[in-house]
Amino acid sequence: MPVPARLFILLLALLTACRPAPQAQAGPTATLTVEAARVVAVPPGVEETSVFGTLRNPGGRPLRLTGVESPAADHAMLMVTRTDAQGRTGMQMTDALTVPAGGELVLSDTGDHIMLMGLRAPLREGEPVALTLTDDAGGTHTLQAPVVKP
Amino acid sequence: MTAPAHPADPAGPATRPWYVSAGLALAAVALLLGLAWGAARLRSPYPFYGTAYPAGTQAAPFQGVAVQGGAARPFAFTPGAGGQATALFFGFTHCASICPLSLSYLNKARALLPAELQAKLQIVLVSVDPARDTPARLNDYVSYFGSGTGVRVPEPALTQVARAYGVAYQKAEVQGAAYQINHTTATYLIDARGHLRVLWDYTQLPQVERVKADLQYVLETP
Ligand SMILES: [Cu+2]
Repeated sequence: MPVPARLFILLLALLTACRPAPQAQAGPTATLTVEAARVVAVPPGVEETSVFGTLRNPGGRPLRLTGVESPAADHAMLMVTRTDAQGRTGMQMTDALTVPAGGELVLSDTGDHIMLMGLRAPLREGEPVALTLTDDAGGTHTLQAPVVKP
Repeated sequence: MTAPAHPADPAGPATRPWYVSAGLALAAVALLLGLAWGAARLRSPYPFYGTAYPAGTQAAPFQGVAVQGGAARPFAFTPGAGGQATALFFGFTHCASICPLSLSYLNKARALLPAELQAKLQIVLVSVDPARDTPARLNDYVSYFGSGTGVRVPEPALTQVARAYGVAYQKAEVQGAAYQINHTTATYLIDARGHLRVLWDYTQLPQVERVKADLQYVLETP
């Protein structure tokens, strides 16, 4: 391994040392930026909704997101949208969503997204919902997504 | 030797100037394109954004229960009744991403129509989850995203209705949480004569201007 790369990894290891079970290739949490994050407003009584937005990873390594949590919901999960041979479209839970190195991951109604199930209180338009994403190296990424009526 | 008939054309009358040849070639291409366009228009007279149905495709009637005038009442869908056109789709209120957005886009497209046409279009959601979707719950849901009618059709009638529109749906268990339902996400536009005219795939709905153009054509040309 070339010296600069080794140095870089050492630096990353130092940066992430305070996090649980860090791995050398983990990027610091600051590497993930979020744009146009939003939670779809749903009427009271509806306990499921989705989170959309664009996640950007300016880092040199893919960021593999493996978990999501929100104080607003009992369950938050990473989802993919699939259409089967019969034309049925639905969402499936996925173990991970990857934000490519130097690239972006668009979370949308037609593709990958975050789903909230079991909303603990009715959502109010304009209010922010906190979300915490976890990557496979133990890094955490917190974001605020306002409730927006589509 | 006689004097040339066209003194300005020393090469002789058999040779056309380049611009005449070019013009003729262009005219030929234009004619061909025009013929192709005409043939396409004959097959589908209006260039719909959505997918057009063959002329005269009758939409299926169905019955269920929906909130009307503040109370749950029997709802009979008779395609074209009262000179109304209908944008119909199948979904469910526990749907986290596609159904709320379908309702939202359809309402936005309708709002772009001239006022007199808006009144001629109703939005109808048929639940593919009659076990959980009560008429009241459907009504709250549909009203939240605009205006329309949410219909509960119990099984086994729902299976028949879905089949009539080519809709498939299937329960999908979600680990540690309430189930979801995978379903066909198309919206069907039925005209005032009760004919299916066009369907939009869910992914087309965000282009509300183009959906509105289809709506306007069908409302003005029943
Ligand atoms: Cu749905």
